[in-house]
Amino acid sequence: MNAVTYPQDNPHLWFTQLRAIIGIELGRVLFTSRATAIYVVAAVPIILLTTVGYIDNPRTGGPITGNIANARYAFAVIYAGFLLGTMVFLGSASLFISLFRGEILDRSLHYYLLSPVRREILAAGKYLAGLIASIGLFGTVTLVCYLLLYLPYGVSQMMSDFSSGPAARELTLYLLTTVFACIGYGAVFLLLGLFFRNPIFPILVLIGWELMHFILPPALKMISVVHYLKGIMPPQPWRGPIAVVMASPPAAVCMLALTGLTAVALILTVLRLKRIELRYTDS
Amino acid sequence: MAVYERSYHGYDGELTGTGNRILVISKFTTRELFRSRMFCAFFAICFVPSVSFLIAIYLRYNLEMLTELQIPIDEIFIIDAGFFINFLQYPQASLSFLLALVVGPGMISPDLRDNAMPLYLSRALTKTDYLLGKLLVLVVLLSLITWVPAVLLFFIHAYLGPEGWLVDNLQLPFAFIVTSFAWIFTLSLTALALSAWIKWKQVAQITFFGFFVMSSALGEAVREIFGGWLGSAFSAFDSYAVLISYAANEPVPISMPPSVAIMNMLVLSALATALIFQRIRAKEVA
Amino acid sequence: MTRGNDAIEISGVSKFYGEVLGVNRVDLTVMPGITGLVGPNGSGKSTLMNLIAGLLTPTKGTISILGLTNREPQLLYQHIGYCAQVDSFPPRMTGRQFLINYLRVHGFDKRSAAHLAHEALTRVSLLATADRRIDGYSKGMRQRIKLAQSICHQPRVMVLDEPLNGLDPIARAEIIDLFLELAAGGAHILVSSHILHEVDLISDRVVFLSNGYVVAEGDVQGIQGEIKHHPIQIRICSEAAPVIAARVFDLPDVVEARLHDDRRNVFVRTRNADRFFLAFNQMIMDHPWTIEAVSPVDESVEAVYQYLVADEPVSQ
Repeated sequence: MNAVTYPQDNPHLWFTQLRAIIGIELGRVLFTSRATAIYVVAAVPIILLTTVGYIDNPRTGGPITGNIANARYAFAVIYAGFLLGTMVFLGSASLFISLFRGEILDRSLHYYLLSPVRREILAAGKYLAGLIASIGLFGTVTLVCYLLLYLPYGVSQMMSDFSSGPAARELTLYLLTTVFACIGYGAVFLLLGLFFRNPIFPILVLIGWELMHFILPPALKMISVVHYLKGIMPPQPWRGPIAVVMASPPAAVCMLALTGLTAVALILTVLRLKRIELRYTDS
Repeated sequence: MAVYERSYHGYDGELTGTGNRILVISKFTTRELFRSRMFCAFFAICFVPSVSFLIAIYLRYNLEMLTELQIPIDEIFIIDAGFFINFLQYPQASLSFLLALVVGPGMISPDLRDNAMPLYLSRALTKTDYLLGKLLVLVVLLSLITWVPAVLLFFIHAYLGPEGWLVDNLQLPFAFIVTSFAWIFTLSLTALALSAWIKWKQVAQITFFGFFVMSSALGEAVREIFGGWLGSAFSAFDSYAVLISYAANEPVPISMPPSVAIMNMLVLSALATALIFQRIRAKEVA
Repeated sequence: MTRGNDAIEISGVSKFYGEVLGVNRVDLTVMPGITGLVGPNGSGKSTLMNLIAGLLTPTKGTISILGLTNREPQLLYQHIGYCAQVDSFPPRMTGRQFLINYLRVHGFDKRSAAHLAHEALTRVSLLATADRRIDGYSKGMRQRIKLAQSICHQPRVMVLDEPLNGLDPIARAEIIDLFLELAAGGAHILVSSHILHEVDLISDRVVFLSNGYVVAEGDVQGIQGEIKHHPIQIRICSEAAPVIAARVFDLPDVVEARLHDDRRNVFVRTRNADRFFLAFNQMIMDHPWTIEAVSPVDESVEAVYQYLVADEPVSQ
């Protein structure tokens, strides 16, 4: 039998395999009917802020958000509560959990497991595909939503804020927060999808953990993604005693720590992947 | 063998009535649910708030030592309509949501995924019968942790409490039953609709959870921008809170008109029902 | 890259799912050629195939494929092709894309992947519909694309779980020819099937599984010969069948003679086929019978299966 000649097991091969896996996964997560829910979720804040941009306050006749400072305050609340807390969190859950758990449910993961690809490359490829998709989508939504703030105030206000105001720095921090949220939550959800047959319960536990993170002892705070994200975000308009309780490390430290947390989650993913068993029977 | 020699002939005995046929679906669905020990444990936990509130009512009227210590219990611990509304609105609304999350999304999707729908619909069962059979399970389970304990607690308090309290608050049990059913049907039909459209139970559960969380978060965002009650219109939990208070003749905590709350639940339920009927088919046609 | 080993070695392999037995104490050596895996539902065929393919890890024992184990997937899966029984595919892919995508995951560049995919599609006669989405394929086409996926990287070991499911008779014949061609080229082909006469037709050797145990393995004639205590059935076709049916009882080791309704065939059961044939030849010379055919009836997978497996209680 004439066997084909396989490429050598070296970084060039790994890169080729990584590219192939990323290509397949991007097609799966972004260009199938299952991606509809994520697109709907991403569209909601854009629709909301576009509507806000065109509706006038009936009493004053001006923008419904008042002045630009109020608008930025409103965006801060919307970003923390809706964009980050719901869109990125649940969107990442849906995206990253489907990377492994979705394929197990679809009974198509064996095509990967039966390929001569290192499990590290497989895990990295899937994670990177999820990351590209989530950062691409949610990062774009964050950017568009921030720019939509200026819809009622005009281009000149926007240019002024970006050139000499706080807008450039704020937008950069929001985008960085979105990126690191995708990085951190992505790794956690990728791991949860591999470990748990039904990830809804660990998701509920994670939500509880993230919501209560501010009362956790320092050692446990270190394994909370939102604890680090709050250090990267622009200063939040929290008032009263909670402002003190929720103090986070500096942004650079938070980014490093999140990267470390992500690395730990990915290592655990690879270890699990190396021991995974698939049963394909009549049932 | 000649046909006349064969002993097989069609069944000519009594047929099960339509109502009982629906119960067959409910019975087997319930049996499957209670096979899981995790589910049994979770269902048991759903009764903990009811028991806690029952203990609170009992202690309110039976701890003589509080009176001896001259603690003004009538001022500290008031059991009025608000007590029962809080029971329904806080622990039981959340637990009923979680119960619907656990049970609902897995009801229809396995039948569609494993091609069992032709088996159901080729029998003397209509789509409506099938849906009612599944819905009944959710309605019964959710009733057991919402209006049933609320009404029981009401009557226990009426027994233990001051004279005339029952007559003064007779509207409460009806309020609890009607609003709880509205809540139950909203949750159940939404869960069943997602179960009918999403192949995998786990994904349907995440979507069910995400839908309610997202709509609440969206409501918060709208409230932040527009102020007023508009944001609450997006939240099913807020709609439920408004309905209970309004039906119980108590001050409504959110300024949303009750008609909006009713409309929310009706629209969601109607949409969910339409989606379910579109999906329940004997045969998938590409 | 192999380590000079040309066999699939399964040594003392057991697989338990909690307390449920999958397979127990399986010892097999599979050499190049076609090996059929036969057994009722629940006998452990798919478990054994998944173990060989590396999708499961044995609870006990070791499996080595051409000297490699599943601890080095990047080496092992260059040499294994697996056609699973489950009928599932990644969504929204055409047949060609499906093959090319996973060949790229194997590490082949675009051109090589396209070439290998084209070859595989040609071999399974799916070239005409290669650019149609798999979602729109018929059952037979889906089976063929699965087969294409398992052979496209030209592995030396092919593990095929019910590969002929859903194929029409012409396609079955084509695929069987493909298996024979691959086996002639030195490949190890492990095939499980319920269609016993096809296993009989294509397999060089057969492994019988029942309740998680290997109850017999080897070529059918050899297995039949091993079952010493099981009488072998022989068909004798002659105009004088009724007379022969009465007279065979004079011969040694004959335990049963049954005259067929057509009164031209008699089925004789004997404990010792060799001695029976010798004695019967002598009997023919002494009588003016015209014998049209004498042939063993039990030298088939089905007959051995019936005896070894079907007679045992069906596993739950």
